Amino acid sequence: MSEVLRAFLGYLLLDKNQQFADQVDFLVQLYRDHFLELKSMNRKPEDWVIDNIMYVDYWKNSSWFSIEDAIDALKDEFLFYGSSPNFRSDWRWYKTLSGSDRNLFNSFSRKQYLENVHNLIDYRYVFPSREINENLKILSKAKILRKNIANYIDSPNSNVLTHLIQTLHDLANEIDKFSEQTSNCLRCYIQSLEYFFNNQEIPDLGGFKKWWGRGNQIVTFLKK
Amino acid sequence: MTLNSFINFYQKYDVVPVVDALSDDLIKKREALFYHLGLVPSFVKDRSVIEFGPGNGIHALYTQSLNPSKHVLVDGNLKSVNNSKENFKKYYPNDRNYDVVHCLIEEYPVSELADLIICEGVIPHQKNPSKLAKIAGQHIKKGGLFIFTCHDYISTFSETLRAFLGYLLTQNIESFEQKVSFLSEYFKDHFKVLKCMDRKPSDWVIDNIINENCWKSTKWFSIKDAIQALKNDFYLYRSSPSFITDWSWYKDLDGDNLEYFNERSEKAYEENIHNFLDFRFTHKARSQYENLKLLNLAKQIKLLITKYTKDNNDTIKVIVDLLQQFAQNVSSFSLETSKSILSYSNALIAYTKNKKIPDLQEFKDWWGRGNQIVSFLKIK
Repeated sequence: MSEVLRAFLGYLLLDKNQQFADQVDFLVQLYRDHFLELKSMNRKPEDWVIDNIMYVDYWKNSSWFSIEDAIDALKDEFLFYGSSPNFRSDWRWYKTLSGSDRNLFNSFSRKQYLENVHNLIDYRYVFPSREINENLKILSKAKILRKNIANYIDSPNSNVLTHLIQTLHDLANEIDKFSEQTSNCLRCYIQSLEYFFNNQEIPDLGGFKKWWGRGNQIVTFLKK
Repeated sequence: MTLNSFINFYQKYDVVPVVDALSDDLIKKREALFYHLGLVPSFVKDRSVIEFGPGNGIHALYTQSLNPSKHVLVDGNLKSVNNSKENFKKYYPNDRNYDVVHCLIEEYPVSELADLIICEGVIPHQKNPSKLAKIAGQHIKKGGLFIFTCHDYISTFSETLRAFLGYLLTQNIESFEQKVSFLSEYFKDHFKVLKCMDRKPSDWVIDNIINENCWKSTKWFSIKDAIQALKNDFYLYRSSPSFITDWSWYKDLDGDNLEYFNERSEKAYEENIHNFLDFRFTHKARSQYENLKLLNLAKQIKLLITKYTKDNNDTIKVIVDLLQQFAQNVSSFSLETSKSILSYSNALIAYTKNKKIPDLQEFKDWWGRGNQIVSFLKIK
């Protein structure tokens, strides 16, 4: 979510008439302080902004592929084996997990993913697992947000913008339930976005700078 | 070869009280265990394996089915060695990649290092488990995996209580066979809740009650003890049950992460010790302080039980008092488990008063997550 928000704002602020290299420079400067938060970032900031902001299809149109999607796609032939970050615990006796019950590894992992998906929002914190229904609300709002963003890019008008800002507020309220620090970052972003639309000036992103998600999850599946 | 007390016991009664037959079901259980331990079965192919204390070699037959390049079974009990040889001959008559060695772990020479060491149900029962874990760990290559069993005072608590009562009830029975028969019958209803128990009840009572060393003298070997023993060269990789989560970004874990991984695992273990008490329930992690209090109480009770069996002194009342304190602590997270403990405590009081065989009621369904099987990765 934090990366989509960065991409959207970067896209809005970008002068599309500039040369490619100048656009890259602009975005690198804009997010320079943000990258400082990522101590182990491998890529050059230039590569990151090219891949994650200027390549608009990446964040506007891709359908993503969550751990839940991966389990659903592969469950007939594979068992979810492990992941980084590792969110799964399993107190069952291994002897009860033989035979057809092996398939429970997938449903069990899927359930734990959904109970913990809120922990992917902000890499700075780890929270206790939550009710799946609560997390599904966030997932659903996050989906709507991306749709709102895509709609605004395709047809920028005040009606779509109102929806978009409202969705951001809804998300901040949901996130508030488990992480006030993260929802404050999101509110900083909302203020910055409104400032930009009102003044057409580059906003100061304040506390948003520190917020990054656990964007990538790397998973292993074992073929049955 | 200097025999240890366990091997002495097995040889005295000519028993190998572990699983004695390979079945499809058992193979699937091994697959499930390997899954929990982060060991991809196909990665065993063309790798070298040593199994210490393989019993009848039944579990080792599954390992053999994965086609290791070399597979050595080491056991100090001659009957285990002979049974393993027979089982391997029966199931893999044409295989030449294995060897069965009659030898104690301590005396097995460190020569060719293995990719995988499996040592189930052996280390926690030794006089010095940490030392034995280090000795067995010497046989592993850097990057290799070390699989073994851990127990602690909490996870074995229900079994210690069973063993103590079993001991009290059979004190006046002389014959080994009669003891086995009485205890198998007395605990019959208890085994019913263990749907996936592999061993025969008679083997269980031999190994866990009649073999008094198992519950009286052992100091156990907890996951924390294992981390402490091996932390210079290994880190805890996975466990069954699996309780370690890790939300750190893998890119932040460069350089020497040994300390980080082990500290993280130790903390997770201490926050979850109470979850090893009763296999029927899983509770949220709780404070390390509360769990260490619980662990300490369980340890005190076990030591008093041991003391009672040595000098038959008047410690039963103290044991009962401590059991009630223990139940009180447990009631803060599990009322059902607390009831089971109180039921045992009442049975113990009744037995000491009238010497009649007690009905254990709610205690019957209570078993701990007694065995934790862990995998440690050697990185130095």
